[in-house]
Amino acid sequence: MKKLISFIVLLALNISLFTVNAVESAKDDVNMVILAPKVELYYFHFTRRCGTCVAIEEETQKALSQYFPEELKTGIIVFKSINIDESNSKALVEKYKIGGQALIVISGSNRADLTQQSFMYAQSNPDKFKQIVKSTIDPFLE
Amino acid sequence: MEFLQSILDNSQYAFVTAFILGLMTTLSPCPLAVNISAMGYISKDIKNKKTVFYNGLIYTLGRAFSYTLLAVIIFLGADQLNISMFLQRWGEKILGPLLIIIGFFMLDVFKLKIPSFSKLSDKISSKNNGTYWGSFALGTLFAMAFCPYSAVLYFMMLIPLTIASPSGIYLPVIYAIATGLPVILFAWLIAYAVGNVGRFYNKIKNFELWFRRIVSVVFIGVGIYFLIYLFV
Repeated sequence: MKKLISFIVLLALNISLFTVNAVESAKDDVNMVILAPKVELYYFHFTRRCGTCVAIEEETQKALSQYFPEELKTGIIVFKSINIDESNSKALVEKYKIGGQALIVISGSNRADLTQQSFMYAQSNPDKFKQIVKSTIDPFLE
Repeated sequence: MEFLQSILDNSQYAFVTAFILGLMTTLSPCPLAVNISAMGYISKDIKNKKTVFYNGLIYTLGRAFSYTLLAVIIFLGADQLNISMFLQRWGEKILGPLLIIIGFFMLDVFKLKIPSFSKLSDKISSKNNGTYWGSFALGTLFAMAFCPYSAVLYFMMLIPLTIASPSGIYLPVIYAIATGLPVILFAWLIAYAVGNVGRFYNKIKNFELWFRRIVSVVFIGVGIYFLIYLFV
């Protein structure tokens, strides 16, 4: 009998938790419309990274949240950091024909390669680098 | 670095760009450590100062050989993406063990009896004038030790510039001279600017042997540094 009672109590608890979750996620759905990403940024790196390599990821992240906070939130802009040493990166490496470390911006069939500029400026002149990120993305959003 | 960047931004000439890229490479961590090892290697013939200077030049020639060969291979149509990926992934990782092995060879820890191998180890450790080959080999190998940063400078900036036209093929040589510049300067200092260290040290009977041992330890030390830096 005791077992049965505790089972019923657990069941009731579960159901109530589930409904709360469902209601909350429904709320989220109302507030946020998830759009297909319009601009995708991929930063490819190896497991071991130099100072500049770390700075590239950080500064790209900063540039995005500084200039495109809304687009980042709604998923219009997506930024992914990908470790080439991990086997699950292979598909993307082949898809985008990556020959090592790279920072690329993809928008539909358009592609911009920021690898050079990122290695030049991300650490030594982050403001200039963030401007480059911004001016690369801007035309893709129009 | 910023000064070099501003030159690079305003550079009108490909050879200036190649030279600046080389300087930026030589200032980044791996090439710096590699060049310091090379300085140790070439100065083991400190008694004969001219040899030290020539070795510095030949080491740089070795670097030029590698950089040019890679550029030619890519120019002739090899898959640049694969080569770049391979060297970016392994260049640096091979370096640590390589330095340690060369260090042990110089210490004569390995006494290989296989003829071809002992010839090779003689060339690397070389008590005689065969050091020129050793310096050349060291230059070619060390040039391949790409760090994340130097790899981008070479593959993403120098190579496109080089393979844009057949006349660009001299650019890796200029790049190599800039990457070997610290070693050339060091060798020149030893050969011409430093007083008569050689004559002084000649009095110490075992100096060369000890100097070689110190250099070997430097190699092993830098090798261990790379292993720790990469794998820990």
